[in-house]
Amino acid sequence: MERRIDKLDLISSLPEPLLHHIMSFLPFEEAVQTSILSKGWKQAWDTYPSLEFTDVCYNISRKKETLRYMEQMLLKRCREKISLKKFSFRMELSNYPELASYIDRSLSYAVGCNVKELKLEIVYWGSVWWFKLPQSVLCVRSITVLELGGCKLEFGGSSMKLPSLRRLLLKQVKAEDRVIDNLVARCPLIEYLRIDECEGFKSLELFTLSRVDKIKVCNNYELERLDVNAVNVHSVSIVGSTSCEINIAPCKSLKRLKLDMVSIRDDRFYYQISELPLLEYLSISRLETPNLNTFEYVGNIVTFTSIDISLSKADLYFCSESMDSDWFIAYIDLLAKFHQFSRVLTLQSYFGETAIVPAEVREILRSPLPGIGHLKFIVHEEDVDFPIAEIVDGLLWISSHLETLSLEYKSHYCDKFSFQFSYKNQITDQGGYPPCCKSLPILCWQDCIKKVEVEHIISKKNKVKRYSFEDEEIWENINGLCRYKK
Amino acid sequence: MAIMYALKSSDNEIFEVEQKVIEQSETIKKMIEDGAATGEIPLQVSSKTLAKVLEWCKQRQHKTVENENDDNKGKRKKERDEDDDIKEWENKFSDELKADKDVLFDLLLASNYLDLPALLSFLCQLVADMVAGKMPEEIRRMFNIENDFTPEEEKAITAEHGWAFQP
Repeated sequence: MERRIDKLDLISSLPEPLLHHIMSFLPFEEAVQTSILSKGWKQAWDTYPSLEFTDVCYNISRKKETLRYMEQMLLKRCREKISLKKFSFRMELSNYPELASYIDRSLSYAVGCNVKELKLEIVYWGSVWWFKLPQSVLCVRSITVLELGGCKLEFGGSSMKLPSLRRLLLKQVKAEDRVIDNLVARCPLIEYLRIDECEGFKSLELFTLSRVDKIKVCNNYELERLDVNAVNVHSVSIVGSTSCEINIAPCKSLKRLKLDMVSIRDDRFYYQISELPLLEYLSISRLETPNLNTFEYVGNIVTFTSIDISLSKADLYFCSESMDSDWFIAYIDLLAKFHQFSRVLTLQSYFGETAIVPAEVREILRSPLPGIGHLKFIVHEEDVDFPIAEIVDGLLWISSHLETLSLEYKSHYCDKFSFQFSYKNQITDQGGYPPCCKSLPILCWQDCIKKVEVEHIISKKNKVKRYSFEDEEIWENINGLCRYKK
Repeated sequence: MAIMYALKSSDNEIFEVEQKVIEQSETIKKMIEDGAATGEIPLQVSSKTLAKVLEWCKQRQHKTVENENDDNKGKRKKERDEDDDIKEWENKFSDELKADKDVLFDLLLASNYLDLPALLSFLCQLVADMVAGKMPEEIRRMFNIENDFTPEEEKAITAEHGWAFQP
């Protein structure tokens, strides 16, 4: 049993599903190449249920060759009634509308093979034509995952229905008003919906989505109105809809809401947020803030405390053209409000500028986040004008008596710093604020801090360094942690 | 006290294994749930292969238990070290299988039969890594694959699938 004759061909005798499993870990072209190995392998290729054609070359004859081969393989599987698990196609076709007929035929064969996962992405470079998705694709019983890119969708009439669809992703799709609304409404089992960079419509009404769990609507620049009415949705992300009116009030099960580069002009939206009883996570990033007035809207968030919303986590990322003292006063005020309704806070900043609170503001305001314990701060771009020591100093004022701070840089080597601070005991009095903060708000932490332990992870180099600083040397050493020094 | 089960290999060797370890196999889990697993559980797997299967399952089990017991403090460093340990263990496991392809294929069949999806994927990935980037002749030599095509048949395949055979 144990020692077999050396010449036995064990691999070709594996059951076909196992050979398919092995092939699935190979680049697609190499999976095709296995057909030359032996009859067993050829048989396995002939029934291989995942066809993936990604063409990155710009050579027209190669494109045609890929299309011809693709059509031939799909036709063969269709004739032999082989079910397709996956058909994925991506090609740049800016100047070749005449090649669309290959894709039309290939899609009809894939539909004939009861394809389950269909991914189709047409890439254009400044093209004027659109690939029109054949209607037949939008009435397939078997499709569970549909990803479309660079296609034009049209009204499918009453036959349009995807009864098994779970995931729908549309990217750079062109459709008139109500086409997407209609499609989504005819997918009774849909769980995940994502609409990115699409055009041709001004409003989206995503209704009757009883099973939808997650919705992402990103960078649809023409969008003026977005209505989501999905009772069971848990997570909604809206990104880059800068002139869009948003209505998510009916989503009563919403737990996570993320708004990024969204311009919110009226208070009603904040009222909607306050009416979501299950909301746990709220992230607001890069709100369009032409001036401080926008913060006054955000200021309405105070109503959260009165209706007793408690978030387990909030993530805030603000930027503004001019960050003067008035801006910082509004910002500190806002942070203090968030402190009341979220236990965990993450602050983000482009250069770290939002941490460096000016001295004149520190003199008149109290720390907005006292006793928060842990703070996470993310810096997107490292810059010589915003050195780490000043960021840490600012954060120690913003959240006085901070115990741990994680400071993450998203640029260069993706440095991550974890700071652990210990303080001199006698400084803390019963009032909750250390006396130094009352009398000398600036640099107060430098008077009461005892020890700092730092773990520095350089993610891209997989390196970890640890330091421990005490007493007078703390400031200088933190300053020494950064690459850029003022 | 952990519940133990006795597994019997196709060559009649008995392996005493904790329930938690062996329940990773969906096949055996079902047998236990159906009450079919009284006394020894007979398996169509040789003792040499079964030993390897259990080696894998124990390593996996070890990993999940340790993660459960972790408290938050210092977890990150510990996790990193653990990941390194697991990688090292997996590399050693892979090297042994690459050297003994009989065991590799028996193990593939066994992981399929016992319904151990993680092990099955690990092994399929391992074989794919061995195949990737190699010429057909090299692959045939590596796995003793007999080229059972006539030259005409081979020509026809290269013509049909020419798309994939271009440099």
